[in-house]
Amino acid sequence: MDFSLPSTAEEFAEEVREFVAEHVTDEVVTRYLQTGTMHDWGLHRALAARGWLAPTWPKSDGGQALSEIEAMVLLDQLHRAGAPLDGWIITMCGTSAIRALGSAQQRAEVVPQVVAGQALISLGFSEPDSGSDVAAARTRAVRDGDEWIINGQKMFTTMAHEATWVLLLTRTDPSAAKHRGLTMFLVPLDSPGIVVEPVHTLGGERTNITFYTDVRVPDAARVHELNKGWELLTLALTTERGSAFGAGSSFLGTMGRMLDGTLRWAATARRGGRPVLEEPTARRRLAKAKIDHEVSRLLNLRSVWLAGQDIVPDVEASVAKLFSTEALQRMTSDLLELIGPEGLLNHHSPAAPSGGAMEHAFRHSTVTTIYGGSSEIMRNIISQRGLGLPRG
Amino acid sequence: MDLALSKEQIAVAEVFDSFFEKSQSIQRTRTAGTSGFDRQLWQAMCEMGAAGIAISEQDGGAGAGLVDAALVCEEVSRHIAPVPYAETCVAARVLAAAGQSELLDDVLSGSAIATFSPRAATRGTWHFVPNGAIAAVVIGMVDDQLVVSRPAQPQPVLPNLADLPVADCRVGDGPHTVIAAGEAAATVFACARDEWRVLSAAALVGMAAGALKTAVTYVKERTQFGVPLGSFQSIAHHLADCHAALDGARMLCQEAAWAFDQSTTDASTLAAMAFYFAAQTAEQVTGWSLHFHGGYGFMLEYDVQLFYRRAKAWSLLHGDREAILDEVAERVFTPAGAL
Repeated sequence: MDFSLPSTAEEFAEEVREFVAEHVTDEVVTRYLQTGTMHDWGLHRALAARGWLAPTWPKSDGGQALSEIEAMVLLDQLHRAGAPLDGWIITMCGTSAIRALGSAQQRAEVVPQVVAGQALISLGFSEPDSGSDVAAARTRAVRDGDEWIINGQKMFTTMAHEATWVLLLTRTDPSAAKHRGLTMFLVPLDSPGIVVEPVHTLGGERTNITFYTDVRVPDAARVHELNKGWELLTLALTTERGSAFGAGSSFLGTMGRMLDGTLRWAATARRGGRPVLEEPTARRRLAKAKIDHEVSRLLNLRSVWLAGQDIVPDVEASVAKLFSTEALQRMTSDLLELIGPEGLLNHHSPAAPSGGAMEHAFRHSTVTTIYGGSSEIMRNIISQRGLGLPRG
Repeated sequence: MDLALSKEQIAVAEVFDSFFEKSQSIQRTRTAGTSGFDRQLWQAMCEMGAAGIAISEQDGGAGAGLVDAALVCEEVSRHIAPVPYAETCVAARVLAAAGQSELLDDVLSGSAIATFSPRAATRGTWHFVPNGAIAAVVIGMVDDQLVVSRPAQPQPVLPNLADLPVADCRVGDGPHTVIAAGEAAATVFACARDEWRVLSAAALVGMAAGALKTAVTYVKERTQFGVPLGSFQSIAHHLADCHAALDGARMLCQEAAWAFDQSTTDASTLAAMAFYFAAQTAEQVTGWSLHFHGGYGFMLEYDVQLFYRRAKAWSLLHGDREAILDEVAERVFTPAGAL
């Protein structure tokens, strides 16, 4: 048993700190807060230049052969600085699935563009009528000779306004059982018949709804086998949840950002003639938040550590996601409460504590127990596969 | 980094798991009643080398560390075994560090039970000493001295929530030896108290794990409205939350134990954090586990109530849990606000 980070990860953390100082500037963070686009091409290309977009892949595939732990360090520090990373994270979820199950042609054409930082992939899984029940997708793909004709709608196609492709979950066999009639396509977003409309969110992030009307793609756009879309989707989501991209992802970094920002504020803000940081009740609340942060760090570390040994951490990743996101919400609510009226101020106000980072985290945290598998889905996985309880 | 237990550590946990299973330790707890102690079971444990697991080989122990002791603690509590394990480990480590080899031999062999008072004596008495009612050796602070006291006779048990052998112990009732004074005494005492926190955290993790296992078994078997209780999401989802918190508590506890074995600078902070989180988790998990037994959970005949009482009682032995947060804050939040 050894809880210390490998020395290479410690050295790498130092390299990441320097990178963050140079590339995650106030300007980058402010632009993201103003536009809601959780992607910054400058930052993205700087990551690509380091070979960090697919950090754990071998160098021959455009990665840096970093360990999963190092990748977690990278994502945690970027998130902690408030960097807009969703474009990258979403893209890697789709790209990993294509790299694992895509055709030779897809792997040769798509993957290099992605790791070079030239192209993004949006995920077209959810629909207006299917969220957690994603296998109920109704978007249809009908064969027409060597082509497929696609009709339907996708909800939460985040980054569709910046991405080159959308990885689209479609129904190809309506007569089969719901999980067995699905097929995945990689569809260029500039195809005729696609309309992207913005959807604005509580967290300030912009996502999209996308409409597909008689969109034609060749059969070569099909990813993986016909009617095996569910297999690919499960792989993409499970791998994503268990990897550094899921675990080290925004939850832990946002928790760290919340703690850092509140502590900065508490060290200088005064109440009753002393800094808030010297107030006993404030100290207890901050200590509680710190403990939740440490537990979340350990659970995520375990998940990533397992992934680094080629074990897909199914229950462990669900435990990490469930605990961290619920803890993040507890933390954002309580620490914002601690700040009091100043906590109201958002990033538009020059007087907002720590640039409004905590007010933003409070709004953003609501989505973390929803996306990437809601808390209820995580609890189903844990109770059925972890505790062996019967399905309801 | 390696977050897995070693083969030897897994073997240690398995050996004690099956030992307590075979010796029907829960039944022994019921038989022991308010005495809270089963001498035969304790003697057998000492013969297995349990008391000296975190003592060096040259001092007569097994040469493992706090991580291993924590594993045994978890098993003891998971099976509600009526034995004074955590405090014995802590006391034995103090005796070893103080060079009290003769007394240490008696403690490791089981012929003398040693305990540790987490609270300094007030007017010549250590109050609420865990295992004070069965201890032949009590280690604790008297003013600025660390004292080993050998009471002439056992102190009467203070009737309590979980039938733990808790007692008030008079310092001057028998022979006593000062093993450290001043700064040195404060340092040894603080370390012992931190180690007690880590091992208590492990014990609380064990209680939560034992209660959760009992609850999961129960809701799979118990049928209401024509289906097993566990098929209701309102029940399954709470148990999933319990499982997640328990995993976190166990990891934090193992991290703290590892930090002591490695003498890292944040060991003391982690001990406080691990105890706080484990105590909070154990209270929640044992509470939900009892609740999902329905009316049967309220009956003395069912074991789940034993876990529920112990989880709260162990926490109370440490004092007001919220006050531990002050110590965490003291160590973590510098005036500059850096983490």
